[in-house]
Amino acid sequence: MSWSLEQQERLNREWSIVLQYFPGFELKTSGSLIYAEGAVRSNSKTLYLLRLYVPTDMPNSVPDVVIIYPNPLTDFIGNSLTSYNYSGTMHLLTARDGYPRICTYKSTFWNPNRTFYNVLMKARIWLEALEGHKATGKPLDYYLKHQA
Amino acid sequence: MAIEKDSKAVREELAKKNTNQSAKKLTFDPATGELVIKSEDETAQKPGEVVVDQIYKDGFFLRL
Repeated sequence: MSWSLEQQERLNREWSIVLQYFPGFELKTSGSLIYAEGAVRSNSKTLYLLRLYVPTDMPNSVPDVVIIYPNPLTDFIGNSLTSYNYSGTMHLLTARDGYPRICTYKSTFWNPNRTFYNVLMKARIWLEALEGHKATGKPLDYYLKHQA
Repeated sequence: MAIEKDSKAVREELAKKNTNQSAKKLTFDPATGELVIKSEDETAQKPGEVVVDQIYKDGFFLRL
């Protein structure tokens, strides 16, 4: 696909913000797909790799975010998070490319003023809640608010 | 304590925020990648540190 000049400028702005808060992230392409990947560490210093898919209609859609490492990413009893398929209590959507996909923004809550930074920060907070789940067995919505 | 970044303490504070039982601030330190809990009146900030309370309060999709 081809990107409009406005989209290219938006992507440049998005990327400068991402690097400000998540240094080490890289922008990658695969065919027509553009995605960002990078490492984040939880407060316990556990390493995770995130992938954010740049929507083709950016900035009008919620970017998908998946956790690509550890793989498989498991819950407190060792089941893969992808086995949840779709879970409100775990804030998970159906997997993408075999990786667990995080519920970030409901599409009706999305607007073009929101940024990749917002989405990645939600993923960072989600990871902290996941570690709470793995330590206690409590679902992620014990730690994270639901959108109304 | 005005500043807390122990992982268990941060998670417990998230749970309190989820039930509106905490007015403390959730911040993110890009230098360390850590989430940090600060008291409401804590004003000292490290360079680059950002308050992410609103992102937390936006909530997470979805309730089935």
